[in-house]
Amino acid sequence: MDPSVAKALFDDEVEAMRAAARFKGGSWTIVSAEFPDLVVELPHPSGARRRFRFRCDDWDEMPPSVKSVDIAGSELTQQPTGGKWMGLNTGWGLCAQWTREYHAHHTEDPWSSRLGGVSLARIVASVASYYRRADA
Amino acid sequence: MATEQQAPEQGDKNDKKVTLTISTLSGDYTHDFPEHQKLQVVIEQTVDKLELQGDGPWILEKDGVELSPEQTIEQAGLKDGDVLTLNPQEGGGGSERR
Repeated sequence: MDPSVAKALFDDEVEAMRAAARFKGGSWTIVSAEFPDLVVELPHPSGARRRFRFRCDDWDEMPPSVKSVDIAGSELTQQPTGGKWMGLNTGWGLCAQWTREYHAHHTEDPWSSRLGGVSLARIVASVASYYRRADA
Repeated sequence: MATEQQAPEQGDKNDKKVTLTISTLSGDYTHDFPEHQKLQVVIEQTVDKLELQGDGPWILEKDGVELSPEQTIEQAGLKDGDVLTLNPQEGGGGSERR
């Protein structure tokens, strides 16, 4: 996919997300959004918070790669555990639809069938939901 | 954003009102709810006002904590100005890009 097209779509979707109340006074935080990476901090019922990087190169021809990162943006050794976080054939990751890790693992369930039908905001909401049910 | 300050409500007219903003994937809904209103009503009203697609179930959450629809606003400890998120339960349908 043309990177400029992917970036334009990424920027449009992030702009729309920034306008949502959950990111303005709510408990979800857009830490940074510089294509191709969107970093969002999400709350956990324990009171902990984690940053997740949604790597959106090739958006939306490919789903984002989702990893928990530290404040410097580096992938954490300690990714979430429990729930749908598990070892995949691409390494440790979230085994839930709409992540690059899931679709690389479950080739019988290709992302291409969702192409253009799932927004980045929807994927962030999905990750927030699975993080809520994981160990902090 | 859909904002509505006056609407018919169920319950005691003397109920204290609590202004809540419910943030969904299809927009935000701000409304003054009676504090004795059950959260199930908050969910249903938001789905109706924003014309959210899908059958649910819908998950209402604050600060990462899922709120029981059977609780009232007061029982859930919600305060004036609180922002809640409402999303379709994962594995279910609803509120996709239209």
